[in-house]
Amino acid sequence: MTAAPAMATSAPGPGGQAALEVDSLRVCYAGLPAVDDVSLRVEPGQVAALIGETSSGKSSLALGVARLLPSSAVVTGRVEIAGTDLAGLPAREARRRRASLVGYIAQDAMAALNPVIPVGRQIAELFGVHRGMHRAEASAQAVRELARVRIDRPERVVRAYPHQLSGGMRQRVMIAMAMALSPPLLIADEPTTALDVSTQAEILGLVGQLQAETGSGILWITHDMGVVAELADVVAVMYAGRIVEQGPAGDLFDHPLHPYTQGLLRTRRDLRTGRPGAPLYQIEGSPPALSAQRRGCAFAPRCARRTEICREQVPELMTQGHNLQAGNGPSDASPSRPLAAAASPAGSASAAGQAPDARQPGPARADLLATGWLAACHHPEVLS
Amino acid sequence: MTAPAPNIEPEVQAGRRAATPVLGFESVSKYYRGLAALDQVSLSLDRGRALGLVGESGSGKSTCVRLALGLERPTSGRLTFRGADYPRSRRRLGTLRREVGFVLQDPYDSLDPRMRLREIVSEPLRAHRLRGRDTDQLVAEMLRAVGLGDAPLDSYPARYSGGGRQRIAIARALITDPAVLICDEPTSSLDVSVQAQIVNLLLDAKRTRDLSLLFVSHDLDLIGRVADTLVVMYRGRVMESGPAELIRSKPRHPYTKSLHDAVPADHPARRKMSTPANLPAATSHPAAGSTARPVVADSPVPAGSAGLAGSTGLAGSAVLAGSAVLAEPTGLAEPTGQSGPDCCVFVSRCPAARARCYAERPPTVTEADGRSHACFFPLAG
Repeated sequence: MTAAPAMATSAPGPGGQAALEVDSLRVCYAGLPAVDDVSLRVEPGQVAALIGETSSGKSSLALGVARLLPSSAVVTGRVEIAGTDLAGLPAREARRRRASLVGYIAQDAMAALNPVIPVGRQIAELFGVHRGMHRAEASAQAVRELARVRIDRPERVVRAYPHQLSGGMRQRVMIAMAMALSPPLLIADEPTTALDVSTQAEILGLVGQLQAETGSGILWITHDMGVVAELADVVAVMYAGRIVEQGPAGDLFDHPLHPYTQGLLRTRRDLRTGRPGAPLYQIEGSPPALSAQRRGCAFAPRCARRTEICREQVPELMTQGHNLQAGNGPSDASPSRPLAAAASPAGSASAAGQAPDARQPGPARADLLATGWLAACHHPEVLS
Repeated sequence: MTAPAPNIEPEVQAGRRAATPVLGFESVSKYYRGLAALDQVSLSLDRGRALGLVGESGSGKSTCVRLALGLERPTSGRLTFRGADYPRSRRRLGTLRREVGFVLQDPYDSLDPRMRLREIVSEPLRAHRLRGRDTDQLVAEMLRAVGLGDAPLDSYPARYSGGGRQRIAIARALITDPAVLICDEPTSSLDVSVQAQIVNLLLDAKRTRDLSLLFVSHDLDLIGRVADTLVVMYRGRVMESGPAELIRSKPRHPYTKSLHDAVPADHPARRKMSTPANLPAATSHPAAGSTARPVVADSPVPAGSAGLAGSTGLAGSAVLAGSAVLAEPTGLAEPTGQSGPDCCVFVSRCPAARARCYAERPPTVTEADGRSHACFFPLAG
C-alpha cells in the first residue's frame, strides 16, 4: 500500500526521476504514423492531461506506453516508467512487471473486467500473482482496496459480478485494480466518458483524493476540456498524432497559442455563455483520418491563420515564451528539446527550469517559459 | 380531438398566444413490468421551438423518445400530435411518422454500411411511398442542405467521418419535410470540434424549416444552449421545467442544482471537485450525503438501490433486455421501501430533504415566470 520511495508526493527537480518519460515515440500501423514523434514527461504526483479527438493518436500513445499495442504496430522511440524501460524488457519479464509499473484505467470497465469472475477475486488475483499472497490474505486485501476507492460495504461488493454494479462502481473497481500495486504511473483512458455527469464528478473527486495519497503520476486521456480543468496540472494537446501545444493547465486555459487549442476552449466557453438558440461557435472541418495525406501542418486545412508555409512545413514544437509579449512572429522562436511539459503538481508557474536550451525570453513572461510551454504553430498568437 | 386547454407545464410562451402544441404529453406514464419508466410526465413542444430533455441515465429521456416516435404506447396518459391523439392503427401511425423525423446518437450504428447515400437518404420516401419528384434531385438537394453538396450519391457511409455521417442522418430525417425532429444525443458520439457544426445544422433547420426540435441530452451546457425550454427529468418524473435561461441561471429544484454542480469547471482556477467537501450531493455514498442509503442492499442488484447508475443506455431497453439489468434505476423499485410512489424520487440524494419529502409526492407547481417544479422546498430562484 505504501508508495515506492522514489514516488514522493512533491515534485523533484529536473534531475529527479519522472513517473513517465517518453522520448520521440512513434507508433505506426501499416506504415501510417498514428503517433508521430511525441515526447512528454509526467512527474510523480502530477496529472498530465492528454487531450485529443478521434485519430489524434492519444490511445495509441497510452497503449504504447503500457506496451499493450498489438504486434502489428511498429513502435520506435524511448519510454521509461519510473526509470524502467518496459518496452526493452523481454516479453515475459514485461508481463510480470507491468502491473507494478503502470495501472491502466480503461473507458469501458464492463469490457475490461472479466464478466464471470466476482470483482473481489479479480483484485485478489493481482496480489496473489504479484505479491505472492495466499488466498485468504489476498481476499482481505481486495476488501481493503475497494474501501480505498470509497466503495461502501466492500465486503459485500467483492462478491458481486461486474454486471451487478452500476457504471460508476465498475469504474471504481477498475481504479482499485489499477492502483492496487501502487504503480508509479497511472494511465486513465477516458474513464468518465460513458458516465453520467454526477458519476463523473464523483470519479474525478476520487482520483484527486487518491492521487494526493499515493503520489503516482497520472496520464489522463480525454477529449473534454472540463475534465482537464478539474484535474490536470499540465496539458498536452494532440492533433493528428502530434502534440501541438503543451504547458501548465492554468496558463494554457488563459492564453492558448495554438489555433486548435483556442478553438476547443472557445467552443466550450460559447456553450456555457452563449444565448440559447443562437448559433454556436464552430471549428470548420473535421480531424484528418490516419490515412490522409500528410504535408505541412495537419491542422492547416481547418485553420483561419494558415499561410503558404503551413501547407509546406510541419511546425516544430517549441518554446513560445516570447510570443506572450506584443510581437508574435515566429522569427526568434527557439527550438528546444520538447521534453519538458513539467510544472509542479500544484500547477504553479514557478517550477524549476524545464526548457534548458531556451534563449533569453522577454522578462515579462520568463516564468511561463520556464514552465515549458510549447506550441507547434507557424503563427502562434495570443488572443484576448 | 383538440385538447381542452390542458394544464400542461411548461407554459413557456409567456406573452404569446398559447397555440396548440405540435407534440404534447399529458400526464403520460409508461410502466415496464410494473416499474414506472415514466411517471405522469407532461410536456409540450410548440411549433418552431426547441424543447430540451435533460437527465441522467434512467431518467426516462429515451422512453419519451420512443413514445414520441410511436414505437411504444403509454401505459396511461395522452400523447398528442397537433392536438389530436396519437393514432392506434399501424397505418395511421405510419402517416404520423412522416411528420416526426429522428436523429439518433451513433451515426455509425444508424446508417446501414451496405447502402449507398442515395438509398439511405431516400429511404423514408420509399417507406412512406412518397413519389413524384425526381428522387436523385431531392436527395442531392437534401445533401446540399446539410453541407454535403459534393458527396457522390453512390458513395457508402464508410467514406465519411462521424460528423459526415450525422449530416447524412439529418438529411435522411429531413427528406419527408417533418414538423418535428427528435434528436436523441445527436452529438455525444462526435468529436468535440465537430459537435458545434452538427448543432448549428439542427438550429439552422429549425429556423429555416419552421421545425420543432425535441432535443435529448445529458449535457446541461449543450442542451441549455440549444433548447428554448428545458425539462429536467429524474427517474421518470419531471423535476423542473421552464425557459432554458432561467433553469440554467437559477435552478429551483435541488436536482437541477446538483446537475449544475456536477458539470466540470471551466478553468483550472475554479475547480469544483478536487476536495471531498465539494463533491456534489449526487454521490451515492453515505460519507457525503446525510440521507444516503446503503449502496448495496439485500437484492443482488446493488445499482438499483443506489439510485444512481453510471452507465448510459436506454432505460426501457435495459429493462426489456433481462431482469438482471433492472439494476438501472428505471423507476420506483426501492428495496428498502423507504421511498415509494408517494414520495419524491430524488429524496435519497437530496441535500435538503425533510420528513415531508419521504411521505408525499411533491405536486408540480407553476410559477409566474413560466417555470414549474416538483419540490416542497425549492431553492430561492
